[in-house]
Amino acid sequence: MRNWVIALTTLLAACNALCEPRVTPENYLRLHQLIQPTPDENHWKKISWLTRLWDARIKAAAEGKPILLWEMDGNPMGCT
Amino acid sequence: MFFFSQPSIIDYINKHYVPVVGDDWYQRRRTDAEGIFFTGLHKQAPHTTPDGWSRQGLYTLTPDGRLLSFTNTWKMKPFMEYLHGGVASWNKLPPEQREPQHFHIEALPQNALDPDYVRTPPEGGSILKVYTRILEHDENGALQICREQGEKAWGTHAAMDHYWMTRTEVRSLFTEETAPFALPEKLAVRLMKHNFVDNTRGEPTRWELDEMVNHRFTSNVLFADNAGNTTYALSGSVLLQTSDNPRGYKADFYGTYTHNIDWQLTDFKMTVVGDHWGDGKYTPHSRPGSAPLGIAFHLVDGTKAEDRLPPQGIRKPERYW
Repeated sequence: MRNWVIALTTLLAACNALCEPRVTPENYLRLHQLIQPTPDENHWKKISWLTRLWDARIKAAAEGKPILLWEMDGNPMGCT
Repeated sequence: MFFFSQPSIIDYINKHYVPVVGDDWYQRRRTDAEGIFFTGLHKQAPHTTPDGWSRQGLYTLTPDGRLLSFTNTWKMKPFMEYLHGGVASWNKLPPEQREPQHFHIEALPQNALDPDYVRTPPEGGSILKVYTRILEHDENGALQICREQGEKAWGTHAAMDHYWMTRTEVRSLFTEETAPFALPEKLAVRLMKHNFVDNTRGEPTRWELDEMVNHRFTSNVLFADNAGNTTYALSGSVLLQTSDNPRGYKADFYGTYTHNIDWQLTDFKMTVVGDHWGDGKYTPHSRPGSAPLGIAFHLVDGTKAEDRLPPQGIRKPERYW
């Protein structure tokens, strides 16, 4: 009987460990930070990207420069 | 993105170009002046596609729409030829055409934009920034980011998207009661359908309603101060999977959000972590079996242009709202 109780308690503890939520009030901010882009991943944002082609036309005309357009299915700054 | 992270390329682009990003799904469909301009640009490219087909690629062009260079491959040599070739072609233009103010481009008024293919955040609503990242366990079992280098790094970086709520929907996050309450179903479904997805390797496949096997989104008041600010906790879990189970996501989440005395959302931060398995239509090469996928939401104020870009899922507004 005693062994049966010990076995059941161990099984319940293991189940609780497996069933515990992975995100808790204690760790959600740390995990939130982990998921953010790292500084290395954000280097490409040092390019002065505009988000509207017509605005780029206006700026390029004013400054006497050509335009570089990165066109993707899914906005490069808003999707993948 | 890999090339655009190199310091010498960053400096070169900022010095020689006005850089801009575009979502081709909208650009190739819109029939306003900007859509017509882009169609005219694409027709000059060496690899044109039929109407309605993707026009993805890297273009360089003059302000009046003449193509200078083009590439649609992410290999270093053609990319550098494209980058320098655009400047070389620009420098071959008559000097007066390269002077500031030589071209005069008038702004497009709002009412001249194609309403079917222009998306703006709802007035008085809120915008959440969404980052998604594949994770792995370290030797101690703790979660960490996946560390690959060079070209293998693609898919390990944080992918991004947005989540929009109208003013009314934001108000529905709050309560004057003290008991826990369920997040409005429409908001929960929008989160699951459009953002509890793996978009780290391309455009994700959305969850259908019958693939939302079960879910729980519960809010409760944590505390309120004398200035009228009230903070809530939002927690729960989801099981999302296709009927034959080749793709799924089992996750739990926790976050907090706050409103001020005027019922404006002033803070929102939520983290989702779970096991994801399977490929989407445009996101092949997922890791074998199931593996950790993390999603992080936080409130942005919309002052940056990049934060006002539409959610990926709002291409069909009737399916988003």
